[in-house]
Amino acid sequence: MSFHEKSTAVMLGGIILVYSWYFTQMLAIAETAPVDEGVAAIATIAPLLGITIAALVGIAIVAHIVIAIVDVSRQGDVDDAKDERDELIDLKSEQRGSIALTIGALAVLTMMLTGFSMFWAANALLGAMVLSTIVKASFQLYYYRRGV
Amino acid sequence: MAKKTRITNDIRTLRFLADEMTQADLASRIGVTRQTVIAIEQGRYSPSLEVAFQIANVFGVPLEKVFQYPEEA
Repeated sequence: MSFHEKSTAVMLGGIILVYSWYFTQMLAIAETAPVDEGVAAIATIAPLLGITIAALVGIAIVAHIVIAIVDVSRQGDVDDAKDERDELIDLKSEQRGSIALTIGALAVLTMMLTGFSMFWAANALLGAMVLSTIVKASFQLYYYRRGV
Repeated sequence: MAKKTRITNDIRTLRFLADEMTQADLASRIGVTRQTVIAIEQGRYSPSLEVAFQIANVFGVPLEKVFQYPEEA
């Protein structure tokens, strides 16, 4: 398994874990906080968003250090270079992810036109971006395993 | 969806005949990762023409000695 494949697998797991926690917490907050009160509603989840981003950055740093240490111990160095196959896999996976993002963006647009508050629209957009990233990473792993 | 390419190759044999050249050695000589050489050997990735020619050059053989494509029935 290449450095990029390991990195993608770890980040996919991290994103699923962290954003599952975020959306669970967000729904709990939405039950009690005044989330339909414009921009002020967004402020109610700002700390949660901050913790989520910090957790993801932390997971990324620690995971890549661990991957690098394992690679050095097994093969003597860290081969994080990208070649034409990596780039093709990135491109094809990005294309799949952008389909998910487009569908999500259209869903958010529909939500805004049908009277959903900024709070729900913002979270739906975040959900679409997360889904897009998950789709992209899943296809990357698929192409690395099954061929491209 | 990804599918196995119809292109076949004799890279494994050619490596063996070239003093048992390793996949890592071949990879470094053509400027790709070892995982890409493995994927090419296993038919999970069709390289670009440039990389295909580079592989042929490493072994000093024509391209068709490295890669083959079945004729249509």
